Amino acid sequence: MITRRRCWQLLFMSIAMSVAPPAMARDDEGREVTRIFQQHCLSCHNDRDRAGGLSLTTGDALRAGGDSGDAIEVGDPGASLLMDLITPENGRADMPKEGPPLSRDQIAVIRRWIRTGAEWPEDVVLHPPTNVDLNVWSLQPLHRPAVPGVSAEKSEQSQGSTTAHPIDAFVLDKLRQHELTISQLANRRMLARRLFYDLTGLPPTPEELDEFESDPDPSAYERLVDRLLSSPRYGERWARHWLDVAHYADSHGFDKDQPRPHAWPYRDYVVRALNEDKSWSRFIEEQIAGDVLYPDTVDGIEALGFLAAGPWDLIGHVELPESKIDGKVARHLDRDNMVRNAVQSFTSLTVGCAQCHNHKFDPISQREYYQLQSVFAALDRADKLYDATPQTTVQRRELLARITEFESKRTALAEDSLAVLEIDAKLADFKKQLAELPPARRVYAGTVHYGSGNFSGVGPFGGNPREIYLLHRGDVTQPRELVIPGALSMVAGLSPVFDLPADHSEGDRRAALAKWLTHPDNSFTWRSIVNRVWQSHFGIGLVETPNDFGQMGSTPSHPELLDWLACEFRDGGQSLKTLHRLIVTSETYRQTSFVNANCDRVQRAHAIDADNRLLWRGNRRKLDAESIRDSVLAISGKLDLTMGGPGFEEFVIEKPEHSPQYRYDLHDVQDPRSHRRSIYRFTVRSQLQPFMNALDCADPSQQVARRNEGESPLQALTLLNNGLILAMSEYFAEKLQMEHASRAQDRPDQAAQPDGDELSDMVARAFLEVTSRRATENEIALLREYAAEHGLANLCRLLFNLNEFLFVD
Amino acid sequence: MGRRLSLCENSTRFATDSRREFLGRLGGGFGTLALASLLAQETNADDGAVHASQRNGLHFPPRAKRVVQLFMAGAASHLDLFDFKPELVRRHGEPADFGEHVEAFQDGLGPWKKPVWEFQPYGECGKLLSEVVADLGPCVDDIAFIHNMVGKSGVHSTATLLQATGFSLPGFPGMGCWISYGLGTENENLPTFVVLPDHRGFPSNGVKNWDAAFLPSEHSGTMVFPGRPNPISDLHPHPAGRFVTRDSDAAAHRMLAELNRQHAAVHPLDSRLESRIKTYELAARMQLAAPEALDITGEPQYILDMYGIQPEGTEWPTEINAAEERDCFGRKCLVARRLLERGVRFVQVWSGNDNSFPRRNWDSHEDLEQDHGPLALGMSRGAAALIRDLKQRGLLEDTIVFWTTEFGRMPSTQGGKGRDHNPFVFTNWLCGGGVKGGISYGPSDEWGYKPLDRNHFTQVYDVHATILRLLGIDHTQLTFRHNGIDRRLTDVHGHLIPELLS
Repeated sequence: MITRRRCWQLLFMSIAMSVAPPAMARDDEGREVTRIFQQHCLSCHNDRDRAGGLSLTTGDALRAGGDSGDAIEVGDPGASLLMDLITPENGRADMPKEGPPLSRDQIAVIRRWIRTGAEWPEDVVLHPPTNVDLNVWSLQPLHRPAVPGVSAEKSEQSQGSTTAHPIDAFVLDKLRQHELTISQLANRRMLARRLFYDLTGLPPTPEELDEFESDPDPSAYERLVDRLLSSPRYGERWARHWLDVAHYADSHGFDKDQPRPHAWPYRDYVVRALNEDKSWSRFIEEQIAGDVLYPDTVDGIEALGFLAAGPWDLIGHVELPESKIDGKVARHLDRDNMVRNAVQSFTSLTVGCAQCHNHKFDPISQREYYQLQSVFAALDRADKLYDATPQTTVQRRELLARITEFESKRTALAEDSLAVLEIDAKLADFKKQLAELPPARRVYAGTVHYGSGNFSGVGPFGGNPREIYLLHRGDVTQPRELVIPGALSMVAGLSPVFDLPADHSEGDRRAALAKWLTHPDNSFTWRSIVNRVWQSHFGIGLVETPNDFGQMGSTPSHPELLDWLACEFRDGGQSLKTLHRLIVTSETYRQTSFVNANCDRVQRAHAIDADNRLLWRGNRRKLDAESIRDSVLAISGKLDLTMGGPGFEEFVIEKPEHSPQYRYDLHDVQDPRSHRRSIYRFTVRSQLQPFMNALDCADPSQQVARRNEGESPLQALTLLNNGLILAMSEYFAEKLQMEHASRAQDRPDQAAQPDGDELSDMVARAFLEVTSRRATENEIALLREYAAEHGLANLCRLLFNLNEFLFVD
Repeated sequence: MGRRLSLCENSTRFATDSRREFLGRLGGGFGTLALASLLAQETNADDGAVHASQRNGLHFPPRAKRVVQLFMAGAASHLDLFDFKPELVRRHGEPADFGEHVEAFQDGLGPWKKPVWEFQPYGECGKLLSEVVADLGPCVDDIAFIHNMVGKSGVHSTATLLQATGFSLPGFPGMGCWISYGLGTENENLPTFVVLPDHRGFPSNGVKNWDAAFLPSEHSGTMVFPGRPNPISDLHPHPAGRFVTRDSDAAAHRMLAELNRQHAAVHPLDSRLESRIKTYELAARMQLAAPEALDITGEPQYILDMYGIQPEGTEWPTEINAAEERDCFGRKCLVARRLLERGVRFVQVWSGNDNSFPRRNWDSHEDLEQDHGPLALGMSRGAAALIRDLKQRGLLEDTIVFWTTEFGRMPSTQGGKGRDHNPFVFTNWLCGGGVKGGISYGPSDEWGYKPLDRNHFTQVYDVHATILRLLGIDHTQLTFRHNGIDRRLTDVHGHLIPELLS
């Protein structure tokens, strides 16, 4: 109650003060008024934006007034439009447009200033406010830092290697500044489970674990790393990380969320590109302008699925023409999505924030934003045709060219001449050859669309890009000046100008953007990708905000390491696999996540850095939705490793012809077609798969740079009761029994060991498969008792709910 | 906020810190504000002083604790339900002259069209209501109508998202998610935010209207289908798990608790492990609490009648009809009341599915009387029963009932018997929870085509800001950093509407 009374006292005091504002000299008053303008008005009423035609940058500008005439009537506040607009009624005023009304004091000062002559201090010129800080770390050019020297002490249990790993050198250097060290290395079993999940998203089998644990080769770990990186499972695992960022899905989203049956070739492209370890530049170039930079390649076309990966407003495009406002809005927002996907994914810049105004915190102008929109101004999202092989592409193009050529020859000739007959024979032959080519494939991509009706695209009109205007406040009804394609000026040492000839094609624009993105001096590109990769290995990036390297993002925990990795990656072949190898062979990565809470070192480290940003221990990671689902299938012996092709459906579609309802509850969980890896799921935007959603899978409506991780009762219910878990529990139980029977047949001596019985063996095996750890005798006894009473299937269900399954040490 | 356990010798502080972290992580949704409030209470208990308790850790003293949102999918006509326009009656059939070019969603606006039904005054305030919503007559003195709502687009999907999430694009949390995030739960045994979709199908954008998007997933609206064997996804074992029995399930819970505790004991300093153990206890309690909350069979007959609920298994004609609409909407409203009573923070009830034929939504392009009639009769019965029922239980004073739709409909025909989309003006209404009753705020123009004062109108941000204010939250302060931006329900907009507060 005391506090409450104090509040009232304070309130009274402030009211009392506002009743009698202290008198001010006239010049002070003018300065005070310009300060108010600066703070509350200048973001719109400046020389550039001139909202309502009014600028408040100088006294002359103010006296010039705006679209509604004079802003002030000198000497007569009552007749001044400005006073009408800023005086609140019922707590609301017309101006300022955003935020609360001006205070009573501020209004009183302005009124008095107008009454007494409205003299603008001569030396005052106002500028639109900016929070842009050019000292932000990410704006500094990228230089390769020297690797810190490392003394002999190293980790607590140094493995005795003579040359320090560069990553460890940077990490140890930082730890030493805080008088900390790294933890001891994880044992082989812990390490293997971590590495398998990290690189492939699947658990090791007990046999793989045994083999690695007992491998006497000192380079056994490095060999395991190489083996996993060359497994096709690697591409499937890491493609998911990229598809999260690209917000890929197999349906449009929005109203009448229609399926996209030809989206999957892009998903397959990403898996393939990662498995083939394409250079990062090429990966970028193919996704932005593969058709231009790598013509006649399958990858160059399929990669363009990236530009169309996000949602699409079918109604806004198909039921509304580009001439209507809502049709304009739909197309504007569609391009906005392409810009964000293309630029934020690769550079970690929140470029979309400059859609309605200059970026509030980063040096990105609104004009630059619209220049980026104009890069994609010819595109729509639609199926693009292509051939399965480059040879067919070339054949098809040549045949089509010949047909055109001969058809035009033919028109010049008399109808019944001999030449015409010859030409007709040729034409028939070309057409026959054309028909015999393997049918063209389709990928849903960003492409020049040749449509009709409202959704015509620019194809029918010559394929030229639409004209893009800077939109005042992002409003399609307020176009300002025409813009030309270009990039961002904020990258040190890299020109944003594309320098395209006047007769350039739309593809030239995308190629220019791709070249800008992949330029060695584009520090954002190189820092962005190494940070994303680091995050996927450690759970948290060196920069904690992987999609925002601007002022509002976080600063790097290890700036020198980030730059060193970026340079190493850029200049060392841009191979992701090399980067993975570099990271996972460091002691930093191989530390144990287990800590002894009673140990002094741990207590000190925890007190300084509970979040482990300094990397004084390994991070225990919770399995993501895909890893959980894939592991459950794999452990139960049901995982179908077929790669690629159309996504498998875990729903029944009701009313497909109009507004499809994706009924997940009607899916048959035993259907083997749905027992493939999660990367091949048919992902629906408007209705997320409930099991995956409960486990925090990515929401493809937005670019997901880092997944949420939470625990809830609904998640517990999902893992206990979902049809997939229950069906797999039963299969797992069957598998255990069958394997046990066959082992007993193969090795009758072992099956008859005196200290074990059949059930205990199966329980022990099940526990090992799920957790990669041998259960203790006590645990086996407990679990055996449960299995004896409730059966193996119930036991398997229980094991899939263990924390030890869901977390990776 | 500290999300990590700190090592500290003082055992009391240790307990507080671990609880802070525990509550911060816990599903069922202890959001930041609720967390602040709980911790404030705990701290108070420790040192004997009182702080912030008047505000319960919130920005303002709360007037309401919970919200029920009634969402009319497809765009309900303000003109035929709540916003009477005598000018349309006078000019019915005359060529429509809007005084400016009108960009309609579909083409071909016809003549002015009078409301399909008669209007009559109700309550002390004398509010005029259409006969198809006459059931709401006894409630109007508790209702604040807003007749100058303005949307941003006439496209169902983006407009629905705007009203449901505050953004026109998918990928933003629903209003209930934000409130769950901000206030947390009053009952750990039930989800914080429950959605009752139309059983005939989802609205435009499906779950994107109530999905947590970038907020932690426990703030997602939990869909409840009272009729289905699993009214909440995975509440009970899927039929594939015939081997799961009551005993095996109970024993599994005991075993999991034991094994997970042993695991947590040797993996210290990781409170996620403890949180997961707790979620299994909550899950088990939810399995009991949810079916009880959804079971309306114990409700007395007069309550069932009040909501217009017919006996289970009633056969319905294939054509849309009022009795069926009353039954289906009434059931959802009654379930909503039961959930609110039990501490669910936000309940969203949908009337109408996505576009489909024959229509079971409010998108009456073809024949307004045919669709709007039964839908409105059903909606008004359920909504009125819900308001009166909450009131008689003393719950209306701290429960906000919020009626909305994605946009309105045009004052002219489309040539036939229907009306086209009107994003330029439409109606919302609020009731209970500190809302000033018996008022009509912000008139539309004489045609119900645009706001009367085109420079002053109401947007969804303003309504959201006002509702958050009634819940004790400053809408500019409830934020979540995502992809570099401090996101909020009201984006960069929103003004409190003081006229709506009692």
